[in-house]
Amino acid sequence: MSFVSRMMDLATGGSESPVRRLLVYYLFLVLLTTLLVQIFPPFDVLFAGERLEESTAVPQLLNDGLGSGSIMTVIGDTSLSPRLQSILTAFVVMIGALLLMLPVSWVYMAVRRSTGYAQSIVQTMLILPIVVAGIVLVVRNSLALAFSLAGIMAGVRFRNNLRDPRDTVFIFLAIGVGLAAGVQALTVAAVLSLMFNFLTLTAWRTNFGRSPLNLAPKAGWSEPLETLVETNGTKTVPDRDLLLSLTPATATALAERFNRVQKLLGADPSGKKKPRYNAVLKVAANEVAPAREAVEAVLGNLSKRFRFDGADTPDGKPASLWYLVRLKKNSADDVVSALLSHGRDAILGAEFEMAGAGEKEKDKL
Amino acid sequence: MTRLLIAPALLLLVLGSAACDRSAFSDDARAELSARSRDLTERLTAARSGRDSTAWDKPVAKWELPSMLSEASGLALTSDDRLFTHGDETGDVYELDYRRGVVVKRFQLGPEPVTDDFEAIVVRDSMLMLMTAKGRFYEFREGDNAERVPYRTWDVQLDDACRDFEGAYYDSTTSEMVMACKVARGKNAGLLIYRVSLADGASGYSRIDIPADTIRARMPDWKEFSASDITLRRDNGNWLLVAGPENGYLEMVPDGRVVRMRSLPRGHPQAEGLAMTRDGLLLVADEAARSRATLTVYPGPLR
Repeated sequence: MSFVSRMMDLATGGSESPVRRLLVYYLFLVLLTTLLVQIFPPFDVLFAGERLEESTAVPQLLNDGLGSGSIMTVIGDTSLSPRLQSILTAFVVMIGALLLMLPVSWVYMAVRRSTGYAQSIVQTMLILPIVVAGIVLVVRNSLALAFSLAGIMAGVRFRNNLRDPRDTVFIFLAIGVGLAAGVQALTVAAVLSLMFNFLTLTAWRTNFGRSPLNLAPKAGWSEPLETLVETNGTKTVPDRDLLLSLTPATATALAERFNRVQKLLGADPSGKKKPRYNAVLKVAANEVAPAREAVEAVLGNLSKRFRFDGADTPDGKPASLWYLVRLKKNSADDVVSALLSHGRDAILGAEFEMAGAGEKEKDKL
Repeated sequence: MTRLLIAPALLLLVLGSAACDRSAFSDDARAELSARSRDLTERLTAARSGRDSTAWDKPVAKWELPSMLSEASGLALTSDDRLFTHGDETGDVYELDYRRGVVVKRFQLGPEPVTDDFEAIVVRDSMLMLMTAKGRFYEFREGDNAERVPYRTWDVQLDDACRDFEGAYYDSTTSEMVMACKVARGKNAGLLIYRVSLADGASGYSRIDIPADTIRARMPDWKEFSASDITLRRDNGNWLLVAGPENGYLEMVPDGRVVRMRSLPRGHPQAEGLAMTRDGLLLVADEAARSRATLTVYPGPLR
C-alpha cells in the first residue's frame, strides 16, 4: 500500500486533494486496462459484460460471424486449455474487483476519519467483492447452484449490525462491484466505483443534506451551539455534527470530563499555577506487567511526576498503556531514548503527546 | 438498521426485475434483425442463381453462439423448421433462429439439473430427444422459455457395438432411429450407421458398414470417417454426415453407397451438428475450439 501511496504522490505532485488523487488512480486503471487489452485482445471479453447479457437475455441477438470477418477468441490466440482459461479469467476478475474497491476504501477512511471507523469494515470492503466475484464465477448460469448458494447462505446467521447506516451502502457497493466483476462486466464495476467515490466525496465535502437545527423551540441551547461550531478561519471544529448533536446533559457530562483533563494537563488560566502533568505517554507492549515495570523505572528517574492512567488490551493486538507525565524541561527526547534502550524487551513503541504545545514526538522500536 | 435497508433494497430488486421486459427487442435490434433477413435472402438468391459451383461452399450466414453453447454438439429441426440445439454435458436445450441469429428460448430437462454426455438432439413427431454417447435417449416435450420439462429415458442397447454414438436423426417414414457411430468396437471400421426400429411391436436393428479402406481410397489422408452427426437430405432422401476430427463431409444413399466425400469448407474447427431445412439450407454447428462455437448456414448441400 505504501508503494501505491508513493506512486500517487509522484503522479499528483504530492497533492493531498482526494479528488485529484482519485482521478489519477482511475486514469492509471484506464491505462492499465487499455494496455492489457492491446497486448491480450481476448481479455476484452472480461470488460464487456457479455456474460451478464448471456445469462439474462432471451431472446438474445447473436454476433454475426460473417460481418465481423473474424471470430473473436475467448482467451488467447494460443491454444490455452480450458482450465488455464478459467484460472486467468478468475485471476483478472478478482484483481479487477480489488483494484476498483481500493479507492472506495480510501474514500471510506477519509470521510469517516472524524467519527472513527472499524478496521474490519475497511478490510471487508476489499475482500468481499473478491469472494462475491468468485461465487458468481462458480454459480455461472446454473439455477441449481444459485439455489444451493441461497440455501447455504440461509443457514449462516448474520447478526452483525453496522454502526452507521452509511457503512451499509459501502458494503452494498462491495457486493455490487463483486457481482459486476463476476459476470465479467468490469466496465460497469469501474463506473460504479467511480460514481460512488465522487458522489460520496462531494456529499462529504459539501456536508450535503445536513438538517439545520430547529431553533424555535430550543433556541436558548441551539444558538450558542451554532456559534460554537462556527470556524474563525484558523481553528476548525473536528466534528461539526457531533457538536451540534450534544444535548445539555451530554454537554454537562463532557464538560466535567474536559475540566478534569484541564486540571491535570491544561495550563492555569491565571498563569499562576503550572498544570500537574504536561504530557501524555502512550506505550505499546505485548504484556502489560513487564512494560509497566520498565516504563515506571524510566519515568521515576527522568520525570518530575507521573501517573498510570490505564491500559487497553485488545484481543490479538498489542496492549496500549497510558501515562500522565510531568516532564522536566526539554526532556522528552531523553525519556523516549531511555524507554527505547531500557525497555527494549518489554516495549514495542512509545509516543508522547505534549499538552498545550501541540508538539508530538513519536518513536517506534 | 441494516435490516431496514435490506428489505427495501430487495423489494426494489424484485420490482425492477418484474418491470424489466426482456422479451422484447429494442427498435435498433428489430432493425438489425430486418437487415439480417434481407441480407440472407440476397445472399441466398445470389448463391442459388449463379453458375459458380464454389458459391455452395460460401456460407450465407454465420452466427457466433454464446459461451453457454460452446460445446453445441447436435442440431435438429422440427416439422415447421425450427432449430434446436443443446449443450454437451447438461440437459439445456436452446431454440435458435438460424435465419436472423437469435437465441429464441432456452429450457432445461428435469426438476433437477441433468448431466450426461449428450451428443445429439432428435425430433420425433412432437417430442424431442437428447442422445448420449452410449445410445441412451432422454425424451421430452418442447418447453417454454426457462421451463424445466419432465423426461423419460430409454436405451437402444447398442453399447456393445459402438463406443461412441455422436449423431442421430429420426426417420418418420420408416419409424427408425438412424444413429451414426463415431468410434466402433471392431477393427477396420470406417463408418458405422445403425438403423433401430422404433415402430410398435418391432425390435432389432440393421447396420450399414463402410470399411475404412473404402474411405481411404477416396480420401487418403483420412484413417476413417469419425461421424459427428447425421441428417436426412430432404430433396433426395440421402444421408448427410459430418466428421469433426477429419473435418469431413459425406453424402450417401441409405443402402450404403457413398455419393460424395470431401472436406468441409474452411472455417469449421470442429463440426458437431448438421441439419437441413425444408427449403434446402444446410446448417453446420461447430464446437468452440480456440474460438467461439458457431452455426454456419450454407445455401444448400455441399457439392
